[in-house]
Amino acid sequence: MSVYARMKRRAVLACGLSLVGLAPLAHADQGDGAPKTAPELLAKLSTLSGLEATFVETKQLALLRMPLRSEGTLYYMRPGHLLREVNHPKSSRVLITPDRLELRDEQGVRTMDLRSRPDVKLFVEAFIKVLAGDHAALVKVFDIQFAPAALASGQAPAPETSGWVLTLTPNAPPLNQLVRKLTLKGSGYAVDRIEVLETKGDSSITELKVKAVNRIFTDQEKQTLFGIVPPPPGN
Amino acid sequence: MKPSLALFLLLVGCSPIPATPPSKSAQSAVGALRPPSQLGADFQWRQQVTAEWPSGTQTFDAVLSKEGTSLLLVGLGPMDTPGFVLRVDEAGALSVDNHTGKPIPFDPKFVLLDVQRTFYPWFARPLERGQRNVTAGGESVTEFWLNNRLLKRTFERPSAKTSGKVIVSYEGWADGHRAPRKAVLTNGWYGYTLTIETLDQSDVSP
Repeated sequence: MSVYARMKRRAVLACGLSLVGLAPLAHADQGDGAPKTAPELLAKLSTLSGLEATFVETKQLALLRMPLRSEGTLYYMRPGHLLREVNHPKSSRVLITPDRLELRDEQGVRTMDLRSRPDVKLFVEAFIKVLAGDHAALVKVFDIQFAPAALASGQAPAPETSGWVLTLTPNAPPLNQLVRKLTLKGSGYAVDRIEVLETKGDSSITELKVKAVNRIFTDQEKQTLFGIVPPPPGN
Repeated sequence: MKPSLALFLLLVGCSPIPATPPSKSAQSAVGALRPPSQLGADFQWRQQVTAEWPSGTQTFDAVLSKEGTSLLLVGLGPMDTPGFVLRVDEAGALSVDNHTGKPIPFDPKFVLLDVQRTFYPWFARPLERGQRNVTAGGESVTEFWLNNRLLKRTFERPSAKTSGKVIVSYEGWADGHRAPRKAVLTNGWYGYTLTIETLDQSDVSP
């Protein structure tokens, strides 16, 4: 494989991870105790309808001393619609639907039809499985570790804390050629921090603040955010 | 995984280089790259660059970073993925990493000379107000100042066949910031304009 090919894949993966970013885990209910296992956490997620969360991402490129910071809002709607809307330092939107990838910025709108690119679709779907809480699908792609937060940090777990750490380590190419691991940190059934470490040394930390738990989108919002045109009346 | 998605993101999304750049023969007439140490203290600036030329326009994000004796210009794609990296060392040597999968149609040196014209100091000290001139690298550099702020620079080549001048105008200076909010470079030699907006700027501790 050429160096270029590896770099391109890395860019794709960085995009996929920070876009999909497992963020919809954050929509899980926060007041529902603490999951004890990864399947328990993911099963809960699989029942939820949507998410709206603000985020702050700090991306550390190995090339640069200071991280790049971006802020915005994530919208997720089952089964596979995700919008990442950045409002700082400049506005842009990236939308993933089950059949297309769409980028919108000051240059206009550019779209990739995922149906005509099964290779790319396969890649994107690996992350959608996380959003869907599909444990069975995830274990085919990742080694999954789940631990109480204190235990993960080497401390004795306090019984009253519900913090946890979910670590996903890609176990096969092409993912494991690009990503060393994904680390999600949360409490209860909420994720509040996502860390992505790439094999080449770049990393990102996304901190999430949920605005709406189990978000239900109106027809108008589905159209505005996800480009879903409602069926005509009478259908 | 095939590279097509990255190409989509890095080329369609980033497209760092205008599609109709000045010819490389025209670019070869430019001067020397100066040592990065002449830029002073280390910094990292996040910028948005819009290039306009007679047949089109293109916008891309970039990071300009000066660290020690190295100057780095990183062109970013969506999601802040690096598309290309131009690096100048203290001897003025230039290296290029291009991750976009397409050749860079501009001579990277040409890009960095515009960075140099816009952001490098051309005199030892600021000026409270007025106009001053120096000749460097075969170009006549004139600055216009008001209230301790640089308003404009012009670059002319008295001995060259190329007519016209390069004009850089500045606006949005703020206390504590080393880069203006906006700089506009109009290249009358080759007929293009660069609008450089500095979105974030940080001093980097050694």
